[in-house]
Amino acid sequence: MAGYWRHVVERLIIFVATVAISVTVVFFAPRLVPGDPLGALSLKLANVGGNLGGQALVEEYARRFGLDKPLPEQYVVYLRQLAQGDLGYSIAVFPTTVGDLIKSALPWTIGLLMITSIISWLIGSVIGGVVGWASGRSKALQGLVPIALLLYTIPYYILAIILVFLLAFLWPVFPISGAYSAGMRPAFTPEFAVDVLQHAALPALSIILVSLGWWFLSMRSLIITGKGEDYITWAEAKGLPDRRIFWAYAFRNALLPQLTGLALSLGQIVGGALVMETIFGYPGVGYLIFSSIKTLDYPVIQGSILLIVISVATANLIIDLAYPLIDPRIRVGSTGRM
Amino acid sequence: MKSYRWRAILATAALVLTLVPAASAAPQDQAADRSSTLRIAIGNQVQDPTNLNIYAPGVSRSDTGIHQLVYEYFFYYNLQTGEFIPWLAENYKYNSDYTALDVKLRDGVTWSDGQPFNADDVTFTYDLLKNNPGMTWATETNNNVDSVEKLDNLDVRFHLKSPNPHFHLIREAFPAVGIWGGITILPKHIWQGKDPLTFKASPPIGTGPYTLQDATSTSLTYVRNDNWWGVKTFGVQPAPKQVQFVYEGTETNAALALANNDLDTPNIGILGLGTYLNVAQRNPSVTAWSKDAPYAWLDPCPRALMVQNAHPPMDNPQVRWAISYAIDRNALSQLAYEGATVPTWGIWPFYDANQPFFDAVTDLRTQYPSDQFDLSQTNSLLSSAGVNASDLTLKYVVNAETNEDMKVAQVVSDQLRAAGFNVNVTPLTGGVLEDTLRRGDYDLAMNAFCPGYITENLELFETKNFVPLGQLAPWFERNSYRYSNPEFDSIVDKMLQTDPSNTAALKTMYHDALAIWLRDLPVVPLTQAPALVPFNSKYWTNWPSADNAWNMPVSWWATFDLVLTGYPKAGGGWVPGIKPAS
Repeated sequence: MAGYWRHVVERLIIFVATVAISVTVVFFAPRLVPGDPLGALSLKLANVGGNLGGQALVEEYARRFGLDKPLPEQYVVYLRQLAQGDLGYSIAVFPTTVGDLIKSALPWTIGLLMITSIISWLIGSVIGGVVGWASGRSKALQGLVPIALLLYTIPYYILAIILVFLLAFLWPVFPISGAYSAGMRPAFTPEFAVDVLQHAALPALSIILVSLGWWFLSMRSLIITGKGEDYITWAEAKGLPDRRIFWAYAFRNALLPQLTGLALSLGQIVGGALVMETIFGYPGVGYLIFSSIKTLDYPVIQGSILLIVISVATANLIIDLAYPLIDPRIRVGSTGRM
Repeated sequence: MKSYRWRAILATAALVLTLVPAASAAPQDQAADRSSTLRIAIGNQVQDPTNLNIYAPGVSRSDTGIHQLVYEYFFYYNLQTGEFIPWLAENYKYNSDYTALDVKLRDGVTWSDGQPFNADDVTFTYDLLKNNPGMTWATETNNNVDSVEKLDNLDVRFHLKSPNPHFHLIREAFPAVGIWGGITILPKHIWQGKDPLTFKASPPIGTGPYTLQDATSTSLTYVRNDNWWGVKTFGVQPAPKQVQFVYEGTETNAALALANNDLDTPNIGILGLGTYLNVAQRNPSVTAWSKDAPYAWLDPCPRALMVQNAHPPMDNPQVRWAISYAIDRNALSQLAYEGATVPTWGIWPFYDANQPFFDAVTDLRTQYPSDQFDLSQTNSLLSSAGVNASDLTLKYVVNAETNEDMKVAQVVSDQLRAAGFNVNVTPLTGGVLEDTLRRGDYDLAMNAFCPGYITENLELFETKNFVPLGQLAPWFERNSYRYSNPEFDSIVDKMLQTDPSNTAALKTMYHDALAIWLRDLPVVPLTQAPALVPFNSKYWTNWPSADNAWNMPVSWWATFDLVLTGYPKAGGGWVPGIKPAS
């Protein structure tokens, strides 16, 4: 058990180091890009009219954001704010705070991507497992393999556009875009829930179909590999029913690497799905990051990228810590080595 | 074996059931009854729908709809017809030396919360702009306005910094809107005591015919205010009960929505010409400004190639003319704009209201054919200037974030190379672009020439905007190309001191100014600016079009208010707005 605790400490150190380095990188990296957010703001104003006062306006905002101060001083202020959990104000849509921007985008991203990731993982793993187990025994089920391959290789945006064309235009059963109907107020009512589900259907379907292929294929190959293992032969020799061998022996063992994959992909979902959000006009973190990079909105870039870094690092940490507990084959024994 | 197959089928069925909840219900937005709802597609998500502060530089007036539906302006300038339409104000009058402007506000105007709109709101707004340079256009306002005085409840006097008979046309300083948007009068009772830079003003209280019902990052819904002051004053009401601004996502989505009659009009830049033609073929209710090419309405800011007059040999007008003759503007319209625009000889939009001025310079346009493509002229001008094109390497600075600029740069640089020039295209963005252009560190750069008004566009070229190379010019089109001609300045100054309604005098002076401008050709005119705006007449008709050019067809401008409501004719009567199709 001492080995395990050492492992925990090691992983925690790596976690803290990752986050600490990222905090610095996300501060300096956007500032290395030529241009600055106030120049972008000034250009935006110039696009719609005379901008003689651009300079005075830029100076006013530079002062408000502390952008007129030397970089090291800005960095210290940033660290101090961050330590208090304050991500600051957005420059492009001042006076909105970065926290508010993330807060309004995150639920849609998490709601859609978390549910679709889990659904596609579940369905892909179960069907992949069943197909793998039945390999060589059922031609009908093997027919699913090329379909999964096709889904896995098809570019995501192509599938999305095809779905929009088929299910929102030719046979209009779903709305073309948005997260819920214009004019509808978010509320815990059955009408609103149905509306949200209807709007989420196409984005969800496109995400599920594409990622389903991958989970299907990986689970199938895991099961096929596992079929030749001694413990399966032993279970068969014991005369256990086929069903029990599949679920309790083959499937359960193959689930571990799949679970790692799921945890990693869940860690990444806070980054949103830019292409999906653009194609379906869906609000989310991907669009937020995209537009903040376009306008070089330093605080929003910092806040949203940090969020991704922390959630990926956290997902990794959880896997690292949980794995030795779940999988007895991974030993963190007295030798202290994994 | 059978059991596995059943499991697979069950799993598939589960998938279908999960994904198709209530698939039989109407696909279209449930909240929108299309026969009473107008739907407009916007080009971007609204990042913070809770912030509707019209003076915050980051808030998009176009995408949120606040300046079209919520706020209103003293006057609306219909660039298409040349009418200056009184709205929140009844009239204006300058004093004899044009140092003060008296405005009579309309009686009976109320804010949407029922409070009266009056002189206090006007003086409050100008005081706010004076004290807060971070507000959009605060500096422009303060450059022009010394103070605003309340004469009585409905009369205000603008004291100007210098004599200016054109002040009422400066939208960045006076609440009269022609192009896009302008200074907006705020309700004092709402904004008093608030920090105008951090106040979110949501829901916004305006005098307009609609109030905001709901705002999210992908849609804003406005409902008609049946107590709008115009109902009593004008006896009219806009037809749509509801107006929605919706972010549809990609161009494909907007096209499908338009084809499906889910959409009435998209804002500028959402649909390309090819996509529009495709949609119009599928849905005959969808039309644009003109039935045939160029289809697009002409935006008021024509495009011209800025040539750095301070860089020899471009300080020689012959070289600038040589560049002008090297450009095939017809090919440019076809290649960079898909044929959605037309070549231009000057920097003024081809509106009916401007035609008398164009007619006044017909002789000059024959003498100086500034839209002609003729490589033999290029060669002879260059040789008489003693310049060898191949010795020149021209730095063409382009805004890398704008598709249009990139496409134009590609075509123009190819054409100039074909004429023997070496051209280096330098794409830049954001602050670096701004700095480079304003310091004059370019040989060539394409730019829009706004506001497109006759005198105001000439003013851009005045020596008062001239700064030496390396220093920041006031703005790109505002003489970053370093042109200076005192003779030209004195004519334009005289034009600026002439009442804009004195067309006869202005026409003569315009002729004099253009005799110099065309001879010197400080910038090279390229094309008129296209604004491709499709309209769907399935649910709403009477959209402005080339055949029925009663207004400007732009849903992202403050003037769109009048496309919905219509407006009073100068001699009496009413020009109606859009109508329900049925």
